[in-house]
Amino acid sequence: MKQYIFLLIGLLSLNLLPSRLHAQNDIIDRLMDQYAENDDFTQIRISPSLIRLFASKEKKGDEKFADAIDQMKGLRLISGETANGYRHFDDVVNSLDRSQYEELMSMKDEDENLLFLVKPSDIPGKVSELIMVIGGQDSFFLMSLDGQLDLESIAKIGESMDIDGMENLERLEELEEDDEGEH
Amino acid sequence: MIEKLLHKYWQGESSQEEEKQLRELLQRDDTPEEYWKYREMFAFYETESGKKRQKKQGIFFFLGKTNRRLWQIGISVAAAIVMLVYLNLDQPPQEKTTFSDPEVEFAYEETKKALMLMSQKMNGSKKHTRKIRKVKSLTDVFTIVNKTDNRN
Repeated sequence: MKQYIFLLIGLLSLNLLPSRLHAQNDIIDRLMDQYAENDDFTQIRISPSLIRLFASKEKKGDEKFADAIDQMKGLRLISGETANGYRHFDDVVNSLDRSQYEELMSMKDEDENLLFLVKPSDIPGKVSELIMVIGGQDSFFLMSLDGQLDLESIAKIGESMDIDGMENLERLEELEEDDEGEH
Repeated sequence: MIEKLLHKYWQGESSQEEEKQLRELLQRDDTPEEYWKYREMFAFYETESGKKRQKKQGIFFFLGKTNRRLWQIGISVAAAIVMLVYLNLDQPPQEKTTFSDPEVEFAYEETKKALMLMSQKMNGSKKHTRKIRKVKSLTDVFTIVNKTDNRN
């Protein structure tokens, strides 16, 4: 028993135990470090304590954001004007560990490549990370949300802006009903 | 006699004494019937005019000329304040920032913008759909998440 505890402490100190709270030293952080000095790129990093501050305030008229903010632990984004938009896009796509991240949705058109990825959470129906990558001819955008996120809460934010989005959400609800029927 | 006094009264020429006299005369049992209708009226008037005079004297006595001036000013100031407050209450609530720290406010606004962008892209912004080579809809989204549930 004693030996086991020592081993546990040892592992903890070496940080070998998987931990959800451990800040990912991943492609996003690496990219942000890489372009820290580059004025063409805008970087935003919102810490968990700042998110908590947002969530603690009751606001009128911002209710559609309230759900999403409650679920968030952090936000990182990097955005910039660059001729290498497609290259950065490929970098990100190739660097993300596919055993951890699942492709959610992708879209390619003449202007840009768009990809959504998620890292599933232990809690069913939720994801612990949502990543959006957009690579274009003259721009690049990468954003990561972490927390215990419910995709529908996030989709709801922009739904009133886009009729197409509404149709998709309705189909989503139909699917939910189907699933409930199966169970 | 009554006739004479009454006439004087209607002309506004009767004195307080004369009015009192008239009242007494009217109240008497031997007053002709034609004057009975005036009995109550003068009884009433007596009291009222007497009251009025008393009141007037009372106010003057209490306040004095200078104090009354101050009261007038005070009451009009109070009235003005009440009006101002009432008018201000009707104005729509002003939009204020959520956070006192402007940097926090900025971060909050940027967060909302970023969330909105993400959400709009998720909902499939129609702007760039002219040549879509590969699209997965949100129905697939739910399927993927459900698959994860089963795995766990």
